[in-house]
Amino acid sequence: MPRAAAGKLLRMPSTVVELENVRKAFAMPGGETVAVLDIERFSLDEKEQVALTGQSGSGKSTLLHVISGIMRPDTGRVRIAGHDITRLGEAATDRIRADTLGLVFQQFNLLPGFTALENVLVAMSFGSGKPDRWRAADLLASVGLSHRLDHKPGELSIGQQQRVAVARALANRPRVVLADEPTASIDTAHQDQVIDLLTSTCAEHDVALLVVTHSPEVAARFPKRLRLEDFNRAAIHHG
Amino acid sequence: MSLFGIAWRTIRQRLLTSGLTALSLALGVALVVSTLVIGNVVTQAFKSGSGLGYNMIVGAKGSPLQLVLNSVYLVSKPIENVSWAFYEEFLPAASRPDGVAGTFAGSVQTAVPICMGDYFRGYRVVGTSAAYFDRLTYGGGTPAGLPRWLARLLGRSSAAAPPRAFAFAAGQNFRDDEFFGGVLGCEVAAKLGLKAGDPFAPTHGADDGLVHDPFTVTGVLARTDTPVDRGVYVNMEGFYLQEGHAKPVEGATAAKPAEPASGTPAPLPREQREVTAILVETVSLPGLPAELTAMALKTQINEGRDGQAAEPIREISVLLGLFVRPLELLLLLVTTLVVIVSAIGILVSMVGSSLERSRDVAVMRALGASRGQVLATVLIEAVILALGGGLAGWALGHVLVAAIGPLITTNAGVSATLLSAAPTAELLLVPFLIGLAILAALMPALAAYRTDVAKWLG
Repeated sequence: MPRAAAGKLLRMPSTVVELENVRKAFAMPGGETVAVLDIERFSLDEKEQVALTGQSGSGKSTLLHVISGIMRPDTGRVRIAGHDITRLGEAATDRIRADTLGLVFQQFNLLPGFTALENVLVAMSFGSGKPDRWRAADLLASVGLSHRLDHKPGELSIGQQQRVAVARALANRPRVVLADEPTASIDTAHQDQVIDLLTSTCAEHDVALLVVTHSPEVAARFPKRLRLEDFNRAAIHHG
Repeated sequence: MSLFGIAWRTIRQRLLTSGLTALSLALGVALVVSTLVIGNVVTQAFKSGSGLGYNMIVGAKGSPLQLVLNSVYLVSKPIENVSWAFYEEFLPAASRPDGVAGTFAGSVQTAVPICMGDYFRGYRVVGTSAAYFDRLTYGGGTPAGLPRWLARLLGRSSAAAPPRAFAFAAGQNFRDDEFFGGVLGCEVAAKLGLKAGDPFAPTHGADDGLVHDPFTVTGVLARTDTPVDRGVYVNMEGFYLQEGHAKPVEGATAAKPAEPASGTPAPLPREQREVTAILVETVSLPGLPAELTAMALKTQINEGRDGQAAEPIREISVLLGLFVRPLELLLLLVTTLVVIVSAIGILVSMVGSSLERSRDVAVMRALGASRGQVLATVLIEAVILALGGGLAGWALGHVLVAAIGPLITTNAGVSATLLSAAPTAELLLVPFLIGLAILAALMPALAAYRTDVAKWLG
């Protein structure tokens, strides 16, 4: 292979999330099976920032659960940073989730008995590296919470809790942050702040970002927008 | 952050629930520890009395157990007195005024009289002769013991200790001609702050009874860990000379001690003397084991009208078999039940908080925690609660023992302090509790292990 061509290949962004022929269906109480995901192909490149929209029930959360390995697809392949997690055992998938993915939840899901700093440290303790108190403090400082390290979630405002959740998602130097409706529980005035925080922090840390949202306004803030209905055949059928 | 750190913060998060669980555990353990320690102290006290320097007690007819409890353990009331003439039947010719050996003298190696009925500030006063401390011993042998496994569990040694001569921590034994000399058990001296040379005046019949003439402490005994430690021993010649101690005899007048300036007072006449009990060590006759001599002597005495003979070892064994051992088994049962209830408390507490826990577990799993890690966290949480509650309860149990120690001493004549212990049972208790806590936590831990992450994350 010519050197110039090889150089071009090396400079090409690598794919950090890749789904191939992923199908996921749920059995209903009556015995009926309902397909929720039927995706031929989906990918996310490193440092890429994508907004994924979809109607309620279109399978957005299920897609995030499948990508993060919390839920296994019925068929297909899910590759995270080159690892096919559908071929790995649960413990290995847990480790890849801890090391490669950062999750931001709709309800923030901070651990209520832990301080802001401890919430970040807990995430670190499940990764391959050692919990680093200084780095956890730096992360919280980078989201403007250097003065709230020892506060518990109950002592923080909604916006501050969201910032802790973002810092926690970055605890183990992930390759991708997955955010599930991060603005759903906050007022419109603060939505922009949260999206700014996510996009700028992920860009600063060279982390890809996939934000799932039902809000067209939030999606409009992203350079790349995808509609789940456009590539999820199960959602098309339901819609 | 370690799993221990996570578990600890989870406990802090549910401080009220966790605190109440640990508190109930602590109270349960305190109850168990205090009952075990008191049970151990009482049993040890009874067993300590079994290592006697005599194998027979002779006293007035009545309950042999009462005779033993009164003479050996200094508890319960004396039955009655026996006559001095009856006591003299145990003496060799040289010790008798008529120069003829007593009826039982041939079977007797040592016969020590004791007279009871006086008190000194809550402690029993025993009138006796110098032979009590010169010729008797303590600490030799134990009665028929507990089953070996139970003895080991309760921290008892089944091995018999060799008999030891009485030693004095200060001063010395009184002489028989030292009518107003007395010896104090170490506990009496320590509690009352008395030392050799100090005067003390016993009271008649009770602490608020008639105050007798003062005696002088000639010596304080070294610790024996037997009931002797709680006794006040005075020369019975001085004892007899106190008001109300002379047997009323027609035509006789009780002698009173002379003033110090006039020298030693005249002893009480023989016919006015009585003894509460006679501590007898039988001889080993040629070709016969000592037990057989004792048995024959006992039969001979019991067939007579003057008194009864009791074998203290047998009576103590009966006491242990009838009362102490079933009590110990009951304590063991109560202990087990309390510990199981405590473990169920942990289970209820952890199951009760499982809803809250499920969300946290789901979050931790989403952050990358493995199922094994969340399971371990729940188990560590249970161990921390068991250890914390267990150790707090252990300390509280000893404080309880110390708090009710004086009550036990008053009612059972047994010394129980903060440092009294049932070592083996106590050492086993906390690990046993931790094991049970782990068992109890298995259900919530497995629930955490099986948490449906997707469901709880919504």
